[in-house]
Amino acid sequence: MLKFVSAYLALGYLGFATLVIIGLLQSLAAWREIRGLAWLNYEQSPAWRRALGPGIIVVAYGVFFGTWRDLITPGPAGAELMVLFIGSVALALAITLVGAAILHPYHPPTDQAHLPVGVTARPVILEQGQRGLLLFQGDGQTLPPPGPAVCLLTDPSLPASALYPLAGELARRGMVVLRPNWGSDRQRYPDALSLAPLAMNELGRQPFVDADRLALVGVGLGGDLALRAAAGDHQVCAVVALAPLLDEQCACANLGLLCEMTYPQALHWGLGGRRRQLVRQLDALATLGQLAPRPALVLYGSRDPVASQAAVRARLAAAGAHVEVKLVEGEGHLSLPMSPQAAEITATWLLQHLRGASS
Amino acid sequence: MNPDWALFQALNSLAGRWPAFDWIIRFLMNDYAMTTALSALLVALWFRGRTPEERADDQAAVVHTIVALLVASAIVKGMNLMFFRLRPFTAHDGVHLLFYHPSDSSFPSNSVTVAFCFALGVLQRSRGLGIAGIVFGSLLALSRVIGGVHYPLDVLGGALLAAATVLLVRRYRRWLNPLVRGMRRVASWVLLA
Repeated sequence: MLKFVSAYLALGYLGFATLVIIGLLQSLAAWREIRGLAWLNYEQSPAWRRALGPGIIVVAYGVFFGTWRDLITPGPAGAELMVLFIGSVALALAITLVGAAILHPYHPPTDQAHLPVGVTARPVILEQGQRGLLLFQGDGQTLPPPGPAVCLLTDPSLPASALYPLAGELARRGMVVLRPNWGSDRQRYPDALSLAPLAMNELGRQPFVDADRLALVGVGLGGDLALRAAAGDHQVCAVVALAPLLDEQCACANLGLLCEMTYPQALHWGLGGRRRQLVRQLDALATLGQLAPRPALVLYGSRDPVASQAAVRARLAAAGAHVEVKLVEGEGHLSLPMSPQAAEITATWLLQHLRGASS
Repeated sequence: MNPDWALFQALNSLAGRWPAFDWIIRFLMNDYAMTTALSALLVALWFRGRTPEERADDQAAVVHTIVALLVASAIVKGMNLMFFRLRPFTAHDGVHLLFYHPSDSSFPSNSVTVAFCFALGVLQRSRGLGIAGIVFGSLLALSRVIGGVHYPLDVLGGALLAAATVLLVRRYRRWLNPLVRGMRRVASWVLLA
């Protein structure tokens, strides 16, 4: 039976320990760059980065030990202190996560300002009423000559605008890009499998698309879908997956996600458990063998907290896949599709391999 | 002369001379300051991993440390039932006591055992956090002797008991794999693993 001796002292200790843990979590957020715990943008304010966490801890110690006169009287014993400490960790985490979500949310780009000059974006409606966006070079009045085309499969948790840098770069380099919306109605297996064929059919109908030079590009969960779809569709000449998950374990929302997003966003990322199910059912790793001899590229950010590059290479090697793996320095899981470097690598690689396909 | 008693006298003679020094010793030896700092190191270890693999190892070390802490506390309780050593301020006159009168056995020091379990458990995965833990634990041990509640042998015994327990748990850590997996699974339900 727990005996806290003095409710006053027990509550005081709870407050003190909560402040200490909040300070510690802010120090960790600054030191390990954990966005989901950070109350401030520490990259932009180096002074706060060093000062906020330690400052909170010093204030907690100062207030508790400077004002409490009962510190050397018998208080809560070991078991009671442990209970109070666990309570303070839970309280501090809740305050920190809510504070970070309110004070320092993650905002991906929300407009089309990232589309390069000279690229036209046109909404399209695919078969079965599926919506999408078609991007191509030109003003939309005069049609370009038939050229290579890319079906760009997005990650359902990413806003549509997050792919403008990548889609814009592909279109600027002369490719026609169709990005179908991946709505919640197709976020279950096997419904998800119909998305890529719908988009490929639509691309094949466009007069300015060379049907012999089609590629699939996928981002995140879309990367898994792209690899799986390419394996079964021999129209696809090449496939690029940016930060695919490949393994069910990577699809479990975990602490690593908080490096790039706030807690509510990390909850949303899991798609209510559908992401994990889809990764398992798509089983992109198992289908990689069917891609050969078509070229495949997997791109990862060096700071991807969801899947480490060592684990990815090990999984690909274990699957016996002949897939080219490239690393983009300094990018994370969410930032990779918005990275100009990733867009440049993807566009160059695709042009190189689609050129070969046409000859 | 008993070296334990001689060292105790030398250290305890520092108490009661300077009010500021006494305040610092009370700050270090109380039940809250160092134990909270040491517990916070365990929280830091849980969250600090950059990769999934690093986090898995760090979080396993946190679970191992908690188990070591429980085992060591049980051993201390068992030893107290079999052997009771009077506190220095009870056994001798003229001891400068800067704390309340604890009534349990002086040997081994329970608080120092707990402190070194934290420190050595964390040290297995992080040199920086582990060294910080050893500094906190050593300050706690020293202040407890200066403050008159423990003999040097009590705190040394506590530290050695902690080291032995941490090593024991480390040796048989495979047995704890289901517990580690269970705790990480529970944490993953709230995205914190």
